[in-house]
Amino acid sequence: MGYRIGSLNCCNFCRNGKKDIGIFAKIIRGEKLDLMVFQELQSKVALESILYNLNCGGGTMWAGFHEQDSYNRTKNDHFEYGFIWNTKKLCLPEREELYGTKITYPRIYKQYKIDRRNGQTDLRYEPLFGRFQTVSGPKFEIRIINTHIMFSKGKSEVDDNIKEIQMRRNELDILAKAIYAKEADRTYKDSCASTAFTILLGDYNLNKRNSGAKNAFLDKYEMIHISDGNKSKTILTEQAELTTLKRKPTDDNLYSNNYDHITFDQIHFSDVNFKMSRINAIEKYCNNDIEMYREKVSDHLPIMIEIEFNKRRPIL
Amino acid sequence: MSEETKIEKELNPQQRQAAYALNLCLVSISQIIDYNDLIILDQEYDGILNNLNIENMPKDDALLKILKQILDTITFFRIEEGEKQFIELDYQRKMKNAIWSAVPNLGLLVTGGNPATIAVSLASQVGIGYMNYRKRKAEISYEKERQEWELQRSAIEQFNGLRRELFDTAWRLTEAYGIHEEYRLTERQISQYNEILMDPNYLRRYKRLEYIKNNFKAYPPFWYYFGNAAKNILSQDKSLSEDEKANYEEKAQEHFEKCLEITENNLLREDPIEATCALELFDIYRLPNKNKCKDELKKLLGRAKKAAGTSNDILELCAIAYLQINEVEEASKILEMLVNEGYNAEINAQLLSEIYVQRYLKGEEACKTEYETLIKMTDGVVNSNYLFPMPSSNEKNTELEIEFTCILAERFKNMYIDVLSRILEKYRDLCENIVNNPNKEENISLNLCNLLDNFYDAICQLPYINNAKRKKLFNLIRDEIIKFNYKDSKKIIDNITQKVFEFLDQNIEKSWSELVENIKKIQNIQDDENKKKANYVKETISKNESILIDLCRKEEIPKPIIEIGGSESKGLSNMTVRRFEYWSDTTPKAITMLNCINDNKHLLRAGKTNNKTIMCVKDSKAFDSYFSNIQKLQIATVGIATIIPAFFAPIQIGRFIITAAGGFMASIKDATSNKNQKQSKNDSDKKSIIVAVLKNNIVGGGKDIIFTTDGLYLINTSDVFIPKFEDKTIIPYSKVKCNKEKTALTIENTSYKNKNVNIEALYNLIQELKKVQ
Repeated sequence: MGYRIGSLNCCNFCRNGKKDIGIFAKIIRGEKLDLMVFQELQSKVALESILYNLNCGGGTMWAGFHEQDSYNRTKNDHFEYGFIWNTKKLCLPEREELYGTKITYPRIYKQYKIDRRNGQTDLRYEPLFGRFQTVSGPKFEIRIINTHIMFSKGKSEVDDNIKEIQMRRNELDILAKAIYAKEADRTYKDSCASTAFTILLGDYNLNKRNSGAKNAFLDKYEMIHISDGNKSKTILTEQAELTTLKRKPTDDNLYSNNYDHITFDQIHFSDVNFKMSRINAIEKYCNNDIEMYREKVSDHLPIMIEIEFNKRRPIL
Repeated sequence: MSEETKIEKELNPQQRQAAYALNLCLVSISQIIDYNDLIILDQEYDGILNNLNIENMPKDDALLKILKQILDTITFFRIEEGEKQFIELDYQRKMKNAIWSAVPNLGLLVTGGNPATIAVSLASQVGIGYMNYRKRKAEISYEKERQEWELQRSAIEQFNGLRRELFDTAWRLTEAYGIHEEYRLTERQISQYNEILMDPNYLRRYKRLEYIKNNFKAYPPFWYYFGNAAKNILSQDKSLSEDEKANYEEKAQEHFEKCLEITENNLLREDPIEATCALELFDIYRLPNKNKCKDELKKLLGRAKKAAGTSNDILELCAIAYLQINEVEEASKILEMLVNEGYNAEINAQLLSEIYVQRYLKGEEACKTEYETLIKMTDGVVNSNYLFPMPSSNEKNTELEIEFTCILAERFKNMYIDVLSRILEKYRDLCENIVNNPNKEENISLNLCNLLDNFYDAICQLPYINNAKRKKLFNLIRDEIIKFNYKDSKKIIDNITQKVFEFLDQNIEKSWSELVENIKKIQNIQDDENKKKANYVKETISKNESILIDLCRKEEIPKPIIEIGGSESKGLSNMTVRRFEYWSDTTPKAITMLNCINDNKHLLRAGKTNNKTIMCVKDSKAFDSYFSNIQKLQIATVGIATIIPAFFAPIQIGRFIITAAGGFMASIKDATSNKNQKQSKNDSDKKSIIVAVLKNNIVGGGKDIIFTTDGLYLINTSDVFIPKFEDKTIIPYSKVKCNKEKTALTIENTSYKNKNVNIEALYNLIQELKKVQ
């Protein structure tokens, strides 16, 4: 019994858009996802519509959370994130307090350290951080850092000397060292889980070298080593399949970039079995109609990670 | 009243139950963490945690909730049934190897005698699965094996968390119930206890347990381990004086008795500790100086059996123990159940068959029906040829014993050949892969060397290969490597397998002959000493079979499936025959002879259930099987289906030519023709075609007769692998004579006798065959 986590950049999924809620729901059900992570889900109504569809109008099997990042910006320049999860398999941490039950909801991650001497700046779009605990069986916690790394310099104050690609890499560096490393080791009082597995995932706007993409590579940031006393972490970014659609796709050349990734501590994850893949949603849920997919869903394909906590059980 | 009992008496039953139950859970989960082993996790789940009688647990929601969580977590991390099967089979094999020396002289028992010698205690030597694995784990130094069953990191974290919660809950409850502090076990006490139990030095273990004994007044298993440590000092330390031995024996008895005394009824539905404690105490009580009456011993076994519940490994020990006090009926009931459940089915069926035969010999006619029922029940599970033979006429105990042992020996020989041929075939295939590799020459030689290394290791693990032989084998292989020629690289494996085979054929003959001699020496089985010798032979065979099976597992080749008289030569049908000549069917002469033989059905004495002598007719399974060993070895060593006479030294003439499997035909050629020439179809009428074999299934004596279209051959049944032909020529049928009493044939200068064969009928058959010839 593994857990499947999907991630999708919805490409500006607004309230008044032409998106097809049904296909989103089909992807979640069809791929048997337990947790779906969205970037550019630019409307709370959008998330609620997907939930409504998944819950078949009533019911509470699926729950969701929507939030927008809060960095200082204009109304049009922000990203919004969402989580949808299967409540039969995952739940939010709860704690009995004096005046009732406190539920720990996902939050925008605002407090993190940066090193300005090395040219680091605040993250353009702060990630959404959520903690999920397993409902049945032994208690595990899955911590998700849902990120969308900046694409271009934009209008805010950034250092003109540092090129854009490097700025994206810097952001990944901050996410890995300042946020991931900290959250992976942290113990929370409301956690009844003995072990937590932290995953950073989303749209990085960067490619892996072996994906076949043409530029904007992660390079040395594909593997980030952190040493902390006698403990160390090897933060690895995986998923090398192309996930963004070409503007003018041809029959044998549909994809352009490999922007969507999953990042994790290789040492900690050696204790579990996992498998990553791209979800071929166009083929499976849109009848191979690429334009329909672009219009109704997104210009990104979703990706997925499947985790099996009992290492002796293989993922088939 | 002692201080200890005073304290115990202060607690009411409900409190005592609560204390025991809590301590059991605490120790169980601590052992899971401290041993860090998935097999032990499984044992704790089955033996303790999922075995608690909820009625006796304190009715506390928090406690039940945490227990449920523990059980859920264990279920999540448990290994699959298939994975732990090999541990179980390993244990069963160990038991099987040890059992013969533990079983008393059944012949004597059934007839009311009293075996003088105390048979070995299986409970100490092998122990039940639960103990056996822990003992073995303490002794394992091999890192790889430890790691295979280690818990994963997150499992340990989970259990640590659960243990903390359980301890908190337990402490709270002991306070609420008003249970005295001395009954509480702390985390530290339990960790220390677990660590002591892993100490391989029993004397040190005993002393360490003695030091902490006051903390464990209310924890029965402690007292079992305390007694067990004392008992094991006796076997581990050979330098003890008589007084010291007596002292530790006394202590062991005292501690076991205490364990049984304070073990609460129904706390566990099945209690492996209570059962094994009862069995080990039984061993002590059986010693002559203890003067315990049979009823006391029986009561103890009854307790062990009840506590065993459905644990087949403990019940098997109980069955053997019942035999040791002459409770044959009780033992039979358990053995029958074990056979039906498929637990160590073969050996239990063998024991049961021997019991039935002994009782039948004593006069209980009904046991013959029971015996036949046993055969029906084990159909498809145990080969009835391997059961203790039911006498057909006036056979005495000793004869039966010899016959049975011979059957086992024959089976072992066939297994040996099967395993050897599979190993040779495996390495032949691997060598071919290397040699056909298009890479550079350097790679070939390096890879070949590695392969030959592994090959050497595999062969060295076969039974009967001692250090001296290993050295010779090593030199043999090394010499071939030195001669290695890149141009003719395929020859190396041909040469090596041929040489290895010859080497084995010559060198294990001595060990094999010793075994056969030991069988022949079995006399007057009523005598305990002789019975011991017989059991020793059976044990040797059993151990060697286990070695072969282990080797199959390591080399990843299928286990041998052997039947006497049948042809389970499954390996053959899967083996590709590289070159063969398909011969057209037999000559008319052969067909006529076959008909004669088939018509002579009363040749063999009627009423045999054990196939002591069989007539294997051409194209029958038994016939193929007879020659299949040769075929297997030939294909495995040479790769072709024709035989090179070198293997048949000292045979002066003749060779077998074997066709594709399934279309088997064998022939013997005359000495005057060229040995190395392949037979062509035109030569078929010059060949002698083998039509049947009168096979003697008993190892260690007798001869086989090979019937051909030109005469017959006599072969020694006791030859190791390949029947070695004694005579230089085929003996024409006309030269066979019969004595006046019709009890023996004279074939050239050799006399042929076989009590399982009607000699007169055989002689008549030979006369008929002579007419055809």
